[in-house]
Amino acid sequence: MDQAILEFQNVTGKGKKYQISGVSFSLMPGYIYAIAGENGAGKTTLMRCVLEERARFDGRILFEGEDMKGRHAGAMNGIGFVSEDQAFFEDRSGIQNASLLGILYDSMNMKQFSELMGRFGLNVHKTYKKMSRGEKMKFQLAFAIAHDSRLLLLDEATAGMDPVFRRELFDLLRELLVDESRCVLMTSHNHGEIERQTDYVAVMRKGQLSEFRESMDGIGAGF
Amino acid sequence: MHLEDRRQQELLEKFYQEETTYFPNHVLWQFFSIFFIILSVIPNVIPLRESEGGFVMTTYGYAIFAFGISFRLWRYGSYMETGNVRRSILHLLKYAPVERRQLALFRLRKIWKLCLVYTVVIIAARCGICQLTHQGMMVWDVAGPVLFSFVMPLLLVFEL
Repeated sequence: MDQAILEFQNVTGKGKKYQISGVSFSLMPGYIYAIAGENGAGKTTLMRCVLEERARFDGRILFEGEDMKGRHAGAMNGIGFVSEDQAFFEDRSGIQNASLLGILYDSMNMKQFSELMGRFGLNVHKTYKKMSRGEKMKFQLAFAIAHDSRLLLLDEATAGMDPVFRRELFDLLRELLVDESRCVLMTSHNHGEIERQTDYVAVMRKGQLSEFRESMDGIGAGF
Repeated sequence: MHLEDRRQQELLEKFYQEETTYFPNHVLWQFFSIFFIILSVIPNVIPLRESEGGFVMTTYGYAIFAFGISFRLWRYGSYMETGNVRRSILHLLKYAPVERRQLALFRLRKIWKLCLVYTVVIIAARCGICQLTHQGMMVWDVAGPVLFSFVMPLLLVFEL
């Protein structure tokens, strides 16, 4: 039986403004999961519990079966984050960023990075600040895949993007998941996109997990 | 419990070696660091009894030394972008597989020997001057450098 890549066990935390309470669910390899909910429901707070070393919460978050508390840096080797919040050297090119920041990862495959950038139609020598939002998302995805991420966290990565970009992104994610060694967890306000493109949805309401089920069932009004 | 993660320390060493290639401001920061550290020796080397300004002068000296150490730490805590914008490395590495404790330890390793040598030099100089002038040393002639030239500058590695 496959081991869950990420598992939330009764996670109760406090974000800057919002609170999450008693969240429990698991992410299995080979699937795309979405966290849905209205603004302030706790979607990003939950993601930050995974990403931030100093996140304050009760309960446990297990990455590949091991508690992230106490081994956060080790876990981050296998987690890729795609978001507008992700920081890179603005004045450096894509390949310079990848080669410099890739030093900090256990396995950074620069050849794979260059291939992915080529596949996305991106110039590796273009400086980060000159990239459009869509290009930055693709660059971040290429970087995340190249350092062997088993969990890809996408925080509103498709917000404001055109349908072509969205389709390309999800086609790529599906390709990456074929070998069933990874999973994707994304947040999105796009109801239709969640229904069509993801496998499972965790619906958050006022900091609590109100539903966790397969997509395409109709999540209903309210977010 | 081991405080130091050798692997992360090695990776950070390699990261900063590569990072130097891209940011020439580091040379300027090192220059200012050396300048202020040397400048701070002047008020600090004189024993309190001999110093006309006493505690005030040495306070300036410690402050200038801390300023010099800050410039040295900028090399490991900041980088420059176009438009003379200084950004935090901590923000850049927020989602990287690097613990904040290891980053602080890495920065500590870069300055603790300098702080120690400086402290020893200051205490030795004050001792020597006291011997020459046949004056006794005050407690703060030793405690001051230990506290303000060694302990307190090391606290600068922890970015709040």
